[in-house]
Amino acid sequence: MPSLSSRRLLAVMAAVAVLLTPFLSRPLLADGGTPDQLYSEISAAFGRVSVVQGEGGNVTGVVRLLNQALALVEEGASVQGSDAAQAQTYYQQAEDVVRSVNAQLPSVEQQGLASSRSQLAWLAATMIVLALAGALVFRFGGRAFWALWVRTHHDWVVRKA
Amino acid sequence: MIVDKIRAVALAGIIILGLMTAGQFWLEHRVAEPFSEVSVLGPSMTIGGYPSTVSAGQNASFFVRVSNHEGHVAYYDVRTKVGDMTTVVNQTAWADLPTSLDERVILVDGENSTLPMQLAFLQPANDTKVIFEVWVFNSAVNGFQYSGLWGQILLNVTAP
Repeated sequence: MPSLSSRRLLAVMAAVAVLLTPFLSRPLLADGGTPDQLYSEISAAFGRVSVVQGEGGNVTGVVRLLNQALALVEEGASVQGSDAAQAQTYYQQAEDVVRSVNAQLPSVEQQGLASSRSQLAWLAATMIVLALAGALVFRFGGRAFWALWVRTHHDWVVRKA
Repeated sequence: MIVDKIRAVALAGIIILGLMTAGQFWLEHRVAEPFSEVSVLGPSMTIGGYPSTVSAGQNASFFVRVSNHEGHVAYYDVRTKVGDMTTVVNQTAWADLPTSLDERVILVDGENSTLPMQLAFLQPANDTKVIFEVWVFNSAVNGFQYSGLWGQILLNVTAP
């Protein structure tokens, strides 16, 4: 009987998954959305952009895209009263731009993390080199100084005062 | 002994070099005094030359310049409100009026943007106060918060 109930459980889970699929895979906004929905999506994307920047990502490109999306929403809102179809076109374009930003963010984040890591590695390497230089100066500084002194003053003659 | 002095000077040089490298790395990731700024510009995109009189129904052009020196990317909403001499707006209180026009822009650190604002006044009125408030998006509360930055212009709206 346990095998039957687990089979039933699997069937229920599969049915739920099938029912949820359209919702999980649906586009950001079904019909290009309204300005409020789009502003909300832009705000959410901005939140993610802030996080990515905090991790060292160069967000200049995605910020430019988000500003483009804002301009499209504003254009759509300005023609909403006179040409609803044109407004929807602008909203759809804005939605596409926001989706493009969301798609780009993981790679920007990876680049930022890699850049932060390399900066940290560079700092650590510089510190290690300086520490080694300090140890060498401490250990061999005197000998090196006198070797240099003798080399530069080898033609000196000592006379009785 | 002279060797000890030379050794001390060399070691001090190395320590200073190390501190400078670490300091530069630290400072690169810090902003001493983060701030944003706003300025209201006239129709010729300069400070001054603001219209003092407009006819009702006629467009009045302004530009609002916003600069980001916060050390991080920021999302601004410039809200334009129309009030009168009794309207109170200051660093802590925004004008309790409906927004006539809002323009949003996202700026990376060190960037600025000049936003065009076109307003048409329907009714004649003296001492009309046009207020430009800067609101900043706060991801923690998922909304815009008043930044305490604002600019205002006084003008008279005359009958057409």
